[in-house]
Amino acid sequence: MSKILLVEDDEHQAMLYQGELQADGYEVALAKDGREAVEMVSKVQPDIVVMDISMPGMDGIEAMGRILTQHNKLPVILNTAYASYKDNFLSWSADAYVIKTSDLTELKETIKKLLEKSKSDST
Amino acid sequence: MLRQVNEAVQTTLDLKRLLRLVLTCTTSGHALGFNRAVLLMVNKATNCLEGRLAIGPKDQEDAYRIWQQMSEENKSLKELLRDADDGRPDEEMPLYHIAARLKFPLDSDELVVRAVRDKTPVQVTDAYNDDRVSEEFQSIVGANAFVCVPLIAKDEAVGAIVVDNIYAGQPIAADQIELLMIFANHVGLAIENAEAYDALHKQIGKLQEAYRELRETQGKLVQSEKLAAVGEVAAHVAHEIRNPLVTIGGFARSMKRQLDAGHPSARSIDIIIEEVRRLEKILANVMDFSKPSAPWKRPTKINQVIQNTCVLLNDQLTSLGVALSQRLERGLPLVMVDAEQVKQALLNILKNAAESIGTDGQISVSSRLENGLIWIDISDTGKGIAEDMIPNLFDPFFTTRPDGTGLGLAVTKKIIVDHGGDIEVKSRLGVGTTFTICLPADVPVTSRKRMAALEKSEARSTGAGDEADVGAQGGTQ
Repeated sequence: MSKILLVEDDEHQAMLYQGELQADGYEVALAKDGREAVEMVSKVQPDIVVMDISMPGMDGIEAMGRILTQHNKLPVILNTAYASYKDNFLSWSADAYVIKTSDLTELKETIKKLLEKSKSDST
Repeated sequence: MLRQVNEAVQTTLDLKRLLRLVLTCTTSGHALGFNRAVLLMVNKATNCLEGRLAIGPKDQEDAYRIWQQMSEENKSLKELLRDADDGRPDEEMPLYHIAARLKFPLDSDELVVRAVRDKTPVQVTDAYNDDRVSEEFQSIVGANAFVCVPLIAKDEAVGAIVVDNIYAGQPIAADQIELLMIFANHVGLAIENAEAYDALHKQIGKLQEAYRELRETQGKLVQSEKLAAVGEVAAHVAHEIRNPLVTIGGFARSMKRQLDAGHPSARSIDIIIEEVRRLEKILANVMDFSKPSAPWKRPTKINQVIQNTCVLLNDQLTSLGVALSQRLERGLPLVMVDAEQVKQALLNILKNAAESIGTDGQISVSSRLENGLIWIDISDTGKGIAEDMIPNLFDPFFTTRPDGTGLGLAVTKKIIVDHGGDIEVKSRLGVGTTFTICLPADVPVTSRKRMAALEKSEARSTGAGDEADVGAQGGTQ
């Protein structure tokens, strides 16, 4: 079973994503902001990170930077309501950039694709 | 008599009419009664004294006929002045050729120029034996006895009147000259007034033109400020709304999966999902619009972009019974555009066209090169746009559809203008609408050549070398 670290400050959204992803058979760990995500990565050892960008304290882009310096093979999906971060070159180091909608199909497919890719890369 | 003449002259501000009146007075039997009169004016631009108008019978016979006619008709001066003001061009006046040939530099020694320079009248009684009269002047005017009177306004000579009695042959009497001089003083002032009025008129014209330009620029400014403000507000609101929508729609979807299809709440949940989808679509439009990304311009085959856009809508249009035909000109030069943005611009117009048609109709797209610009026409057989709507058509948030955001065409216009192009619309209610886009085909020749070479080599290696062109394709049925 693949493990997802979900980083999301919005409580209701976190519930939604957690429920949906667990229903699809993933194990989901939740971090409420960027700082918590950085702390949790080593403990949780996720296979993939789904990261919101706009969060209080440390935002998703900074958290992604810190996580990638330690775990440079870990796939990260930026999952945000803001298309404008696409123009921020720091966001380019993410493996995918998904714009939030109520239809989670794109997010789920992106997770699946990236997990398959990292599995085939490591074997 | 003089009072009547003056009144007519002083109340005329149109210079051309004024000159006509002056010479009519000079030659009318009621007034000064000379046979012929030529009016010359100082032209400051050329620094010359130039003939402007000449009035009188063209020869002895004509003179006799006119006098005969006038004594029969017995017209009053007022009537004659009215007749003179018949709008006939100066060039058609019988003696115009005399006026047209008189042109003397202001520093010359010509008799008439001297009269102007010295501001004094000159009388010539025997031109053939008078050294002061040049051969040139004599050959043009042809009178043996004549008088030159300067026209003076505010101490400055603005022109001269030359009169003679060539047909009657009688000498010019001293009292006739005196009367002419009094008249000339009034005429000088009237001409001055008319010239000032003329200059004023030109100034007003310039001001009106400047005002019109100002209005136009202001309009553009308001439009672009509106767009900028819209962009900021829209982006903010859109982001605030997008997050809760994700939660509402997301939970509705997960609830739906947990319910049986026949559950009493299933339909309500479908409605929530559908409504959220619609709101998200509107937000996507607004966010695309507020996204400040600059166009990424590359040399592009515009026909390819048009075709790619049409392909996106093919299925949808076919299912609505709308035929989409393309007439794309072969061998168009490349254009510097952001293909994705232009695709978006075309897509918005095509979607509008499809919505305006509803079901069963035609959309035709064409491209052509004209005056160094690429022109794209998109015509539909839809219901058309009311004339009073057209000026607002490209304004952000302007929409006639209850579910529209009013941003589609604003986005289209912004994209086209960002590419240095323009967009226009022509529409007739019940007949259809045509949008015309023009884009500069400004790829420099050298890079165009390079691109052509590149294309050729590409074509050789891939075997597909045809320019994006499908001629008049038979639609999508």
